[in-house]
Amino acid sequence: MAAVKPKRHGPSMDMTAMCDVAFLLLTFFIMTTQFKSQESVTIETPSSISEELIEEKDLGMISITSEGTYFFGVANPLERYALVEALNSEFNLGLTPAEQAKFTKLAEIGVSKGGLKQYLGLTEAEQGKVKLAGIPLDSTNTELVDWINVYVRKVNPNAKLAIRGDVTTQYPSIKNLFDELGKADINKFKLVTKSEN
Amino acid sequence: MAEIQESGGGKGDGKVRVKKSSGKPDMTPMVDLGFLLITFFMYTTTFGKPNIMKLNMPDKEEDPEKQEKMDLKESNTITIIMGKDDRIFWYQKALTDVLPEDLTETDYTADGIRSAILKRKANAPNPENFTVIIKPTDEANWKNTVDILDEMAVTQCDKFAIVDVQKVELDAYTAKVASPKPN
Repeated sequence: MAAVKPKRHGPSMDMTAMCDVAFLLLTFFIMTTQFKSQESVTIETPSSISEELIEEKDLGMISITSEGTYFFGVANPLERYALVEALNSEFNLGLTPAEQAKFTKLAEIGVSKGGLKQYLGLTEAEQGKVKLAGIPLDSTNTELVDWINVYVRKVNPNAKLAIRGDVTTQYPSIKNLFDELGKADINKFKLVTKSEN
Repeated sequence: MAEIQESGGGKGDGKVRVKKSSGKPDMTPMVDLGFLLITFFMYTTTFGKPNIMKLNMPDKEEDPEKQEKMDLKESNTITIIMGKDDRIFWYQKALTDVLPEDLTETDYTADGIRSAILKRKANAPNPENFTVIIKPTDEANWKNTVDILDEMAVTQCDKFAIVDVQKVELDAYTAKVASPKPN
């Protein structure tokens, strides 16, 4: 009687299934991914019970840091081309195409129109080091409103405005923003928050 | 593992040997590549979209006298004053004669301002017109504002207004906030 031989397994195993899983996940990530834009400021948004998710298109975002400086950016990178072109012609900034391309990589802008050309001329590393003064908005200089007007009236008439404030942003800078935008007849906002849990 | 098979070099014994392949390609490098790309996309993707809440501010009324025309019954409103260090006060009285004693201090918890609003709302003579008047002082911060707007959603008060603090209230608030928060 022949001895029962255990079946020998080779040292290699079948990778096909694993490969399938890997590429399935890969496909998922490629389809859902949206590349992060370079962010100039870190803002900790307050939490709320709202469950409505932000829409990435047709959205202009005003960010207010804890020090009360204003930043403006457009969520959809494709709209930034139109915005920078409109800004360039509206304010005679004299931006080169290379500088305009750099603009589209930034999630938000925190320099006044006078300093924009110089700021866009810097490399990414240098941009990170610059202390940004924000876009001016006070009773004498309502430049932020001009930017928003260019975006809302020229670039994208369907655009909505989101306000992203920091947890510690003091109320006067918020009130100032509401007041100045109210004068420009912009009264509808979306407040950016994060979900409570 | 594609290998180039060299046929046995010359006509040694007259037999050409072809190495038998098992028919299965080695998938390991392909899996490696797959996971490498997955890692890359996982790092660059942005998850957890932020939420938004809608806020419509009233149109700017040029004529301040017109604004005052809409006179609300005091018992049908509650006025909330947000102060520094996350302190919050409410009162239910005519604006002109607010005294520090009229301000009731509470906090941002469910037992605090939320129950205060709900209680006033339940006692209101006209609950569907119950109005919350939100007055953030200059010492309040953004978080307080969002918290209060949240409470509006929770207590289902869709009639609310964010208004500037008046002089009378500010005096009352300053006097009240000078005393430490009771525990």
